[in-house]
Amino acid sequence: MGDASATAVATEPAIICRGVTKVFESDDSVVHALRGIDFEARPGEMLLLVGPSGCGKTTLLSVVAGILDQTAGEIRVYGQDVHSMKPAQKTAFRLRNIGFVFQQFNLVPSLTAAENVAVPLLLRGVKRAAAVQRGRELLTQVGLADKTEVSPLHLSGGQQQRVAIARAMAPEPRLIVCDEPTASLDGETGQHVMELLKSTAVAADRCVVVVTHDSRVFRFGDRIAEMLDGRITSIRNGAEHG
Amino acid sequence: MIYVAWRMLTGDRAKYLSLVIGLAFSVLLMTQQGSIFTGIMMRTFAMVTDVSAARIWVMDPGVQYPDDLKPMKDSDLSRVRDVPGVDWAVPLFKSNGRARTADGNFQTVFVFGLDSSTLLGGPREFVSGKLTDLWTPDSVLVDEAGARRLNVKKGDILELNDRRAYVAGICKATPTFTSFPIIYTTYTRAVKYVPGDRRVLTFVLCSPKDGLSDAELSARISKATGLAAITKDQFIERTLRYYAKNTGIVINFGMTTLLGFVVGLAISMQTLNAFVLDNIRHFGTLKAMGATNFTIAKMVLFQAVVVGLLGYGVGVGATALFGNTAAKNSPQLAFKFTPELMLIAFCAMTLLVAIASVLSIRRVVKLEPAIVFRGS
Repeated sequence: MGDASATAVATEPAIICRGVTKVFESDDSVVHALRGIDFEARPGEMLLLVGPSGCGKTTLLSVVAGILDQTAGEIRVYGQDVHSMKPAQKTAFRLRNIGFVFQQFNLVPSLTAAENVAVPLLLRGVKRAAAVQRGRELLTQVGLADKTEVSPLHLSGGQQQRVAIARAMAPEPRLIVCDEPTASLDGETGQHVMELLKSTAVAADRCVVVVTHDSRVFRFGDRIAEMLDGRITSIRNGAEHG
Repeated sequence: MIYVAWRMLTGDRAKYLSLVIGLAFSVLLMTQQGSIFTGIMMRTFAMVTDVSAARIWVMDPGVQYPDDLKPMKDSDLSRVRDVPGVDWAVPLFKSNGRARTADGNFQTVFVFGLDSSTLLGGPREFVSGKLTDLWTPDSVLVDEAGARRLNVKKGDILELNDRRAYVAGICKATPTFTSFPIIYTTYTRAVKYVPGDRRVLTFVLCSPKDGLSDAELSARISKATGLAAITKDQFIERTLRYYAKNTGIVINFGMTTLLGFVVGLAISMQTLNAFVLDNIRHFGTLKAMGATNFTIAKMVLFQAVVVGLLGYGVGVGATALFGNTAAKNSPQLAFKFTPELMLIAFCAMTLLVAIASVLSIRRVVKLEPAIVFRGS
């Protein structure tokens, strides 16, 4: 990121949510997934969204990332009202500004690790050779220098998630959203993945939002927003986590 | 992203091969059935194509197809020759005969009588002997498949309608619709071999003088003689029309061919659709990361086109191989794989790829990227 971005980062929150609601309606049921969410996330911090299954964490993450529209309320990501964007603008916004880490890694098994990392760059029009080279560099950064040409099928869960983190960082996004990044991993590997996220993904000009219900990783959050029944019930500093 | 699409397609070799083989099988079904249908239909007018020298066929107006034998008067030959613009006109006799095989059985045959002096309308390719051997007394030429059936070779004596016939050579001829052996001899000899009717002139073959079109001369002959004078193409068309209208072959075999197409289409669509479904999560991930619908559509289309082309190539190759192998082992097989059929199969495959792509693209475009946040 350039200086201009860094300056912008310093002056505005990464995410602002005001009165965000999300209602899923079907023929025979209405589900209030989010019931008036208010919070802010700042660049340079890792915010954890925690709570029991079904409390609305992932829905909130999807809405913040612009892949789901909220029913009401306002969401601004680095000052941009994502909700008011047209679908094509929203897609372009995600491509420029948001990195994704998924619970199931979602790597393409037929691509090598380096090629997987290169995918967001290819989407941005970077030449293949340059994109894959950048992929190799990022894999080195996450400790997988010797696995760049290996298929994800031959990597452990922890290694796959590290590839996914490298992929999320590849386009140098200003926001990385992680959906249960440790849920498919054993405890120790989960800790390593969170350490990696904390040490490499979080940057002065980048915010990382992690949805998790794994209490063993709460200590990695700079702040922890607890959710219950579609509401944020408390936001506290990570240091306060006992 | 085309590279990613290519790798997604070919990454799982087994799936990739099954996709290509599935499509190739569809093309094989379409083209193989189509080739047999074409082969059978082409046999109905084999005589017209084999007698390549004749540009115009003159016959009784009631004749509807080459085996529909309605002889004319001998004097009709002179009347045709007298029409201004006729360069040459020769008689052609055609009738059914009965040949006795070496094992004592009888076999119905087609007897062709060629103009005794010019031998116009005779076969052009020979396994043994030559056309002018017909000038030897009692000689006949037998087509290759017929010779096998009658169990005769050059130099053998054949009993044709209780008369002696000397097999002067074995020639090549397109098998007829009924697959009867074909026996060529001279016009005068043929008339003796197959006596009976007072009228024996079956066809008059002729050609226009330079500068006169076939259509023009045909019209002149028809007007002057009251006979049907038609070009080679018109005779073929007339034959096909007859078979289409009066026999069940088109509807019956056409249904089988159509079924081949439909089954082929269904297999291909299902195969392509299943492939996209297999990759739906990856497409969802790409959409979440910021891939536009257009990018995804290009990827899906590229994958469909690649497997479509490969499937087409393999399928067409397999059909050609089948045709070659089968024709060698079974000359009776009516199999004609024409460029037109290849084009039809290509169009069908293109259509199929287009439909499958549109369905798959619709599915991907409608795909909610939020699915990637669902755990399983």
